[in-house]
Amino acid sequence: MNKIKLLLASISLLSLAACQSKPKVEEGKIGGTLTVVTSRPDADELFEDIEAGFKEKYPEVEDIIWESSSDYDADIMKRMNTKDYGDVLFVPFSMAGTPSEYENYFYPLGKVEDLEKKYLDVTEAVYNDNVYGLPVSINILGFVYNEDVLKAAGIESMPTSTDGLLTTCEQIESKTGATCFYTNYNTSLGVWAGALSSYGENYKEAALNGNPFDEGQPIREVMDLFYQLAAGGYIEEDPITGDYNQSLQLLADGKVAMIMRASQDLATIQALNDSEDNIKLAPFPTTLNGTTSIPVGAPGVIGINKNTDNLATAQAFLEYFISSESGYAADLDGVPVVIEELNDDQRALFEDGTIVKTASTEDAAIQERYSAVAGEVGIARLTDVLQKVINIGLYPEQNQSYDDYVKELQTAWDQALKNYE
Amino acid sequence: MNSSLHKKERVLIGLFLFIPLLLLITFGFLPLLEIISYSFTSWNGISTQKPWVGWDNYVKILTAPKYFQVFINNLYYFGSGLLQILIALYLAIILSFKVKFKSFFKASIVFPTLISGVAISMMFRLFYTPDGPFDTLLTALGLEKMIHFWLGDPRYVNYTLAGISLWRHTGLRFLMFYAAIQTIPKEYYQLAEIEGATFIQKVRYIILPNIHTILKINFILLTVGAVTAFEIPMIITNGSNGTTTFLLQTLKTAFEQKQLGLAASMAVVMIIALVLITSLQKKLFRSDNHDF
Repeated sequence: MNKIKLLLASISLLSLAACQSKPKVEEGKIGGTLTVVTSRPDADELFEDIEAGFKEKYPEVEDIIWESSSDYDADIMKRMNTKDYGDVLFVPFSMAGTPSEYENYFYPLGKVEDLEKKYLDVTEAVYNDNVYGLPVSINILGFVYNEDVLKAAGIESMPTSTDGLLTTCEQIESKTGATCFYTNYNTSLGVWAGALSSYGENYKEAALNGNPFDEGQPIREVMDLFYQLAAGGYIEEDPITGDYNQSLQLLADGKVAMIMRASQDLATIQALNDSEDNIKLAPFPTTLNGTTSIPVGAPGVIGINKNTDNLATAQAFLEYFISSESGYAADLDGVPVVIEELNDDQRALFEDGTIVKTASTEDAAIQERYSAVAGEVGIARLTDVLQKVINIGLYPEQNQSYDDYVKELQTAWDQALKNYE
Repeated sequence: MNSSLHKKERVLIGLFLFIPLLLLITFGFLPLLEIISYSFTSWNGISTQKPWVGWDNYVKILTAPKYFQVFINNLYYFGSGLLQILIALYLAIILSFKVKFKSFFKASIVFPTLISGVAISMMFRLFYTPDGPFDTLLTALGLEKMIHFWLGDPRYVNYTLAGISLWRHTGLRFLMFYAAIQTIPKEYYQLAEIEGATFIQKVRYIILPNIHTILKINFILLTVGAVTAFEIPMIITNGSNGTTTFLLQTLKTAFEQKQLGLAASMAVVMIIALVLITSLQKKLFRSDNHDF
């Protein structure tokens, strides 16, 4: 009997020892141990370099614990129900729909008007003028294309409208036999949500006052684009068996003319062929106020856990991480976030005025209502809708017609608007 | 009965039961209660507030046909499950007699259950690519006319997925049947041999009656599996092309559309449906007490 009691007692002691907390650091001092949670399980080496650099700058720091997950948003959102979700972490993008929640989870980094003097694109995670996260790098979204294929088809420049794209595709397919546009059906359709601001500013407000599935509205434009590409046979033969890495190789080899990606992928794709610079980035085939626009956004946004017990170190680390010293932005081939560190080309790009931000800058109340309505209709992420549209384009006889599908979405939207008045 | 137990024995039993009961309550009943309480709210998964909406979520699910339409897709997995039982039973019986390369066959039947979901999705997307391994195989057999876009075409995709499910889950059922057959005493067969029983008679009068508990369990598992099917369509098609099942739709409602309250009530509806079906099955099985 006593033996069993002893066993139980030792088990409970062991489990207590396992949750022993980290040693406390004196307030305001930089040092101790820091836990950083990221969405990059592939970047261990890079993180080791960053850790070494940070320790060199602040020798008091004992250790940085890196935790990463590939299904980042889902994992961190579950973890955020506790208080233990790292000291410094990437802000999950799924929170962008509910900005009022930032203050419950993240430490405010400063006011927008103060921070925007020092950093670019500070409005990725904002509520009530407080900034809760800063971008780790700035990248450009667009069509990555193989210039050799375009030249072979006798095309001078990338099209700037959906119709232009269809003509271009027609020419590419008939003259070169290459697939015009690889959709990456299984992996990347969700990225198109970031393209919407290229098709119309403040589209969330417009959608709440009207219907996002009416002709000319951003979501409808993107849906039309996919429907026409799929119905015209300008996409890969069987999108569902597609593979992301294969698409990069096909693009580099000139068997695919274009894919939708961001500037951080250019170098990777360019390295896959012998040519010097035939892989380029073009804006989306659309114009806003008469010109094409360059959608810029952050591949990651970094913030501080409001429950951290090592605030000073966390702040120092965040500043270090987004500066060019850490090399994180350079690894993504992105523009660094600190304005002082921009080179002339980058400065010109941002002062040119054709930039649109992929992160919505609309009023928090509008964003939250939009998220609720869009959630109910099922378009909070565009993946499902675009997959369905592609399927309708490819198999018109096995599906409802495209017009019927659009009507169904319109009705659902009107209904959802009423539910969230 | 209880009073005749010594105090010491009761303490011992309590101690042994303590850990399983603790696990059952923590991971079985508490989450269930939590889900039920979520199902009456319109929680979005992140907000600190969980607004109470009463029966709204249930009314929504039970009145809109779109939530139940997808149950049709679950029928494919029910069919696949029936086939799984037949094939697994057949293989288990064959392999419990003298067969050459027994271990090899056993290993290759069980092997698919051991592969992780991600690997399966990659494998089968590759397997079904146009001009990929499967199409090459069909061509080699002279069946070029049968070639389709197995995962892309809405006419075939559900059959393809049910087929993958068959490949994946037969192994587990086989293991259960095989293990059950191994527990039958050798004397039964020897006696049957002396009496001159044929192979069919041995199966009919020795094997089937002795494993009928496992058979019943498998039929219950079949309905549970069919109602809760989600893994294969999630990893391979993301529910596109009309392959969504009820549980996959619940998952999407919760984690993509951020309507955790609604999703919780869908989960509760599913739990109730499962409890009803399995208790009905149990009743049916109980009424036939005599052996096969």
